[in-house]
Amino acid sequence: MAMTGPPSWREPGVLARLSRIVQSHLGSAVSTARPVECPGDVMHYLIGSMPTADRAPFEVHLRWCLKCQRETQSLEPVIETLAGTAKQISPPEHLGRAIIRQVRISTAVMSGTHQGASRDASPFSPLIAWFNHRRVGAIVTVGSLAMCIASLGYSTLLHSQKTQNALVTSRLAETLILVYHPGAVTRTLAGTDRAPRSTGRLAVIPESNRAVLITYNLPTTGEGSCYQLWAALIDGAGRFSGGTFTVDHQGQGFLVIDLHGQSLNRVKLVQVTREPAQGSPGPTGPEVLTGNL
Amino acid sequence: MSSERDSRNGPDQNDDDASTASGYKASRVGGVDDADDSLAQRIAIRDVASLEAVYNRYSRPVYSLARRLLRDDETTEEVVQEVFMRLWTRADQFDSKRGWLLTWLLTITHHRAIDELRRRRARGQHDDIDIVLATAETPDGDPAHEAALAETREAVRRALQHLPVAQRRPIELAYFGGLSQPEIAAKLQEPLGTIKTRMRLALQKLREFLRADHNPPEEHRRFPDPTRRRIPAS
Repeated sequence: MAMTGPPSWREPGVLARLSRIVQSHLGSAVSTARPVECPGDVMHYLIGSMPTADRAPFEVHLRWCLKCQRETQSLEPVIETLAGTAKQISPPEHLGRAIIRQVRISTAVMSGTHQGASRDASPFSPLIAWFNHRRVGAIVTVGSLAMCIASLGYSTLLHSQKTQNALVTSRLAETLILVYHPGAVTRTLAGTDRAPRSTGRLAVIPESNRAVLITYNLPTTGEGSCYQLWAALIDGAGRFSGGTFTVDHQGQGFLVIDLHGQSLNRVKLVQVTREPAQGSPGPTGPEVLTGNL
Repeated sequence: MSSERDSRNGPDQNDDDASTASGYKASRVGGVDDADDSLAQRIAIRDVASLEAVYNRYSRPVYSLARRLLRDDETTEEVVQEVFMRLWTRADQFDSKRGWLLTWLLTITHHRAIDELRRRRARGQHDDIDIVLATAETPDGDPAHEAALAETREAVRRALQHLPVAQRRPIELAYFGGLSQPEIAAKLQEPLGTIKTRMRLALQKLREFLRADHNPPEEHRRFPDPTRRRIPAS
């Protein structure tokens, strides 16, 4: 009669199961290596045979999967070689000028100044200058944020169940406190190719190590999925989930970010991906927002 | 518009080809180009001069690849503009530990161009893929440039010719035609599994070929640009 004992470490599948259990309990903060299964193939990604729709999720994966990163590096000479078969043609001279002009205009609009762009004056420059001079920009921004949050809170409260109201209200209150804190610093998250019209505003209070995200124009997720925020640490020290959230029909959502005890100073990059409703241990879905902290 | 700081520090600026090549060679030991890395870091903090430097360094291979795939000046320019705007807005996504800036730019360019090819195919506006692949590569009339590229092209030609046609063809259809694997399988009338295996084998062989004795010197694998064109002042 065969005796059954505890599973051996060498038994097939045991290590994989343990790995999944550890990942599900500890999250991606400790998981910087490859996931159990890579969602795509580096070769197909680099050679161009990967379907367009699969590319964005794979790019998210590629940022943290060491195995795929190593494979990418090993194939780089091949990619340069293939590209090198094209007849080398110098771009027309006007193209470089057009790119730099576009860059200067976008910089002027984003920063609210037209410094260094006098030759490429944007049609918005006078308005931006007036906003800066009168500090109307700050007032309008704060007012808009308050109205957005108020309307978001109102619509959220109307549509939430009673049992969730208290939680939503407390998070909304915390959001307001963080946004209006005199020491709050804001950062903008830009929409990716998957959500080019979307933006996110991150309000951070460095001294208290607290942060909140407010989003605009994100596509609605439906019942089976949500959005999840990821914070990547400096020096490739891994990443952690900052929490999940959904958005209303206008694409507005907010999230009081869970920092898992990490210092904000150690966070380099913030990303938002679409994930299953319960969230994921690591990013698996398409990236919709990204930005530096 | 000038890039004086990069002209002093970068390895590719204003020198003759030999010193440029050795500059690259020295700076890319270990697969990391320090100059590229620092340029990308400065672009991430919105340094326009650094973007100009990268444009001056890499616009030629980027433009050439897009033009090779799209065969249309207007769309090529749109794609190149998109690529450098993406570099401007997403430079923080470039990580020199994960790869070279040129490969990153070429990959973005390639993806943008094959997306356009796929859109054209969906609208029924595509050229016959065989005609696209058979497009003759003719000299561009610049003898100095052609001479500088001759050795690189020879290495590339040898590497590709090293592959059996059955393995080379799927690679060409994917890379220059933007065809997905099922499309390649349908076109070549081969099982999908066979196509996948052949592509993998082809890439492995190319990689090994480039690594082995046939591997051209580092400077020959780069894209020399003896014209050293800069963005002219507007």
